[in-house]
Amino acid sequence: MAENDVDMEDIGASAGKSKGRGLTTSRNREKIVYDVVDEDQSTGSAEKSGNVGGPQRSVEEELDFLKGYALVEYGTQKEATEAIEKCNGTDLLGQNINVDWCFIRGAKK
Amino acid sequence: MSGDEVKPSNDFYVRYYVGHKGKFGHEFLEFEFRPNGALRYANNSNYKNDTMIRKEATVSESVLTELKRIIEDSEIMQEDDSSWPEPDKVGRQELEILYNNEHISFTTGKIGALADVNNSKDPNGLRSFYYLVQDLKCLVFSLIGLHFKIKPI
Repeated sequence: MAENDVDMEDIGASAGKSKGRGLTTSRNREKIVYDVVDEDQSTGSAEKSGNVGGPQRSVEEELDFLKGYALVEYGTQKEATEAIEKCNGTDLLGQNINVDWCFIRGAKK
Repeated sequence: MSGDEVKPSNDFYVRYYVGHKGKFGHEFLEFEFRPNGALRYANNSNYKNDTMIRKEATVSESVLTELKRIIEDSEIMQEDDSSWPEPDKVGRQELEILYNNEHISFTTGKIGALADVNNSKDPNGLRSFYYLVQDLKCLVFSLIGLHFKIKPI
């Protein structure tokens, strides 16, 4: 997925149809250097969408019931992986829920 | 970019900007989701000599899918900004979305309250913009907040 990044200057031109007044602020703040969490650090705190139940220890849950999604943080990658495996595709109050990793490793700079 | 390039039609891009220029400089909040999942967030103010906050993370396909759902539910792609309030000295908002080969680049002023929406020329369109922006901000703040927690569990 990381390879298909596109040139944002041209983004409107790639669309079949385009509307709106257009923009005046600079879209590409490419020169800005963004903070990126160290990868070891980010894999340690596993986050993903979905509600988690069962034997997993979900220490913190932010359940946005009305939003249709939730981000859940786990203390270890193992616990999070287990939660994904056990909960993805299961039924929650009559609705199928998708549980997956929230963050992935980005393209190497 | 050269004209002979064939671009995939499934590119997905979202950018939102809100800001104004005042006595604390150019104060703005901006975030974007790029087709490769890169989420960029910037928040700038020179209030009390503050400096710009910039964060970048990469979200998974499932987050992008959820984002697409939020955009679809908002029906923003069917709206048009032609009769929305013009940006003024109070501020400016910009929303740019590329989705399903359709591109919108909407610009309007800041919306202080829902009453402004209801009294506008296009209350329905502006209302979907207003709620979509709230939903997008909520998602982005949750994502950035979680990813950059100072004290993860």
